[in-house]
Amino acid sequence: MNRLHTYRKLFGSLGLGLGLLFSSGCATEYFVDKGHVDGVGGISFDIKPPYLNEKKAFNLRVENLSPWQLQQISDAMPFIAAFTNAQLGNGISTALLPASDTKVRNIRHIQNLSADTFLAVKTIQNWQITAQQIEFNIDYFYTGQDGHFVYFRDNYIFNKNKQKWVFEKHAKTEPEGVLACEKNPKGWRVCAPLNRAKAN
Amino acid sequence: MQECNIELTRQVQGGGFWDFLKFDSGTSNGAREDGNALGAGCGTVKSDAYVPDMLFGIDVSQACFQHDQSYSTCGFSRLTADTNLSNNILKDCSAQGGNALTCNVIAGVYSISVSLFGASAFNQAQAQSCY
Repeated sequence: MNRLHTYRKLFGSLGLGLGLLFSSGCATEYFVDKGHVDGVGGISFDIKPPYLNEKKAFNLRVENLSPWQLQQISDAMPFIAAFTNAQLGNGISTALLPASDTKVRNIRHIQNLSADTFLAVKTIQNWQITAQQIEFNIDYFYTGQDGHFVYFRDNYIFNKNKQKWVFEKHAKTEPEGVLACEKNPKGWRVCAPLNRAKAN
Repeated sequence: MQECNIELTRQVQGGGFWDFLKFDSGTSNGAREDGNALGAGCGTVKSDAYVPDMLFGIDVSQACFQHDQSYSTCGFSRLTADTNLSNNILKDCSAQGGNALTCNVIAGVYSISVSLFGASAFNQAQAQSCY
C-alpha cells in the first residue's frame, strides 16, 4: 500500500512537472533553437539566424585565439556562414550551383555528389588571422553510398574589403580531401586528413 | 602490491564494458568540449547539456547535427530528415562498433524524441530558412 502511494506521488510529480514544462512555454526554449549570443574570450558572437547551424560550427574555443583574433572572426562570421551555406548547396538545383571553373572549389563536383545527397558542415576551424586576411578550414560531411559518413576538408582565405569579408582564394592548390576519423580516449570522433592519418 | 586504476582496467578489459556505460552531452562548464557553439550536436542551446551526444559509448553528435541542418534547409521534408537521422545513427553506431541491439535502442530513442518534440523545431527552422 505504501509502495502504491509512493508510485502515485512519483508519477503525480512527474505529470505536474511535464504539465508545467509544456504549459509555460519552457518547452519551446528546450526544443527550438532561436539562437543566442556566445561570449568567447570576452568577445561576443551572434549565433543567430540566418545560417544558425553554420555559425554553430565555428570552432572558437580550442585554438587559444587572442581577443583581437576572435573579434576579427566575429566580424567575419556572417559572411563566412553565408558562404558556407552556399557551398553546401542543399536544396539548390545543380543548374544553379557554381560552375566548376569558378575560383571556389565545389565539394559536390569534387566528390561527385548527387543533388539528393545532403551535405552538412561539421566544423570551421584552424584559424590563421592577420589584419586583412582570415584563413581557415571547413570540414564537411555527408552520407556516403555505403550509408556511412564521409568527412571532407577544404581550405579558404577571406579578405577584408570595405568592411565586408569576401572569399579571396583557396589557401592551398588542393583541398585536404577526405578525412580519416578515429575515436579518442574519451570516445569522441577526431578527424585528420587521410594522408596524414596514414603517415601516423 | 600492484595498483589498479581505470585506465589500466581499460587496457586489460579492452574498454568494451566501460565504453558501454558512457553517456555524455559533450559539454562542460556551459560550453561544448569540441569547441563548437552550444547546440552543434544533439539538443538546442538550452538543452545541449542535458541531451546526450554519446550513448552507450556511441558518438551520435554528427547524426544530430546533420538532422538540425536538414530541418534548417528550406523545403526539406521533416519525414525525410527524421528517417535519415534514424538510418544515420544505425550506420554510424555500427561503424563505431556498436552491436545491433545497442544501435537500434539508440536510433529508437532519438527517432521517438524527434517524432514527439520535433514539430516546433522544424517549423521554426523552416521559417528561419525560407525567406
